[in-house]
Amino acid sequence: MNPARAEIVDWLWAWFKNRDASSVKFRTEGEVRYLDLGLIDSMGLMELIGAIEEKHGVRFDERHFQDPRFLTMGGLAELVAELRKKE
Amino acid sequence: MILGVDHIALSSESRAAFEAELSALKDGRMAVRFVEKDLPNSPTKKPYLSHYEETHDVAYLQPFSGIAIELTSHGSRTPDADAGYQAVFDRMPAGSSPRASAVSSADEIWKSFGFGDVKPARWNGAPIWHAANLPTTPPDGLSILAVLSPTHDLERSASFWTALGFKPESFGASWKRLKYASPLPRKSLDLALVQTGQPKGARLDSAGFPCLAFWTTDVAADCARLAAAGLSGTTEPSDHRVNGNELKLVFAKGPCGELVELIQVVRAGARSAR
Repeated sequence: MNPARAEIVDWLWAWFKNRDASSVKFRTEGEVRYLDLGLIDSMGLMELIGAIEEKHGVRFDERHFQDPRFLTMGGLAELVAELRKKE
Repeated sequence: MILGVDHIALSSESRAAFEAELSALKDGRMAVRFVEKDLPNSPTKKPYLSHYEETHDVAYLQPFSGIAIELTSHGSRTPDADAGYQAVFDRMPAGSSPRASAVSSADEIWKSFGFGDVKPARWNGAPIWHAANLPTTPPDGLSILAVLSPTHDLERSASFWTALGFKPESFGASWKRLKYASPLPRKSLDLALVQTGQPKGARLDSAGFPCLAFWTTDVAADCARLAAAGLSGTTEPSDHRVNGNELKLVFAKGPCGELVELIQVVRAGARSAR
């Protein structure tokens, strides 16, 4: 895994753990679909987007949101890593 | 960034009628996500209310599929239901009655949506539509299939909704079909824009379905962006605490009087329900 992506995945899990300590039990090497698993709901996702933008200095737009990677933990980290590279 | 369509507002007749209306919706097997009574009402809403009260009652209901309904009581409502949106249900809601429709292209529009036979009706003092024989078996429980938005300027309205994130699907001489596809469950919406004679002028306490609410990650940025597409009358962002969530809300209207609400989550409650 690319180091930036791995670092962001760690940050994401820490964010989820801070919100709900029990969420860490869902952490696996595979793709974790955080909405489907109920780790957060749609409103929580909005808060997560704000936290990512603030922490990582990136800006999402509609194209990122429509990207299927947005809804998995690893995919989201990949998107953020790509955006960080560009900015 | 707009993330999805959250709900369509439904005006309650009065605060006394609120419970009965809520019960009727529950009888339609809509899941009640939360009810908040005496919620502080922001003075910023005044331009969009015929009658302002310092508090209001809100119930948030999730149909089996499709966007949610927010039943709201501002104390009373004005009988100008034709000024708002028209919900299209997957079946005839209990308590609704048939009505005549002035939309001559209705059959053509609903055929394009694939809803089969769709009938005009009146429900809760408002014009609605309902499917009469959906080609597929509908799920258990009342659901919103689409929303019809009358407009006096089809092209300007279409530009506005496109700026909000809707994509054109099909069109006829006096109508356009648009779709907002959100990756989030129950946040997508099919929309029918239909050319009519007069501009809309719904307020939040107009009977029927006066307002459509959208989620955004940044109300200020989206309001600035949408102004170029005809968004006007934008209220100052106001802070609210609803169902444990800290929200920033803005109300505004589109180029043909389409009332919209933009919702930004400042902090989601641990067990938010939307």
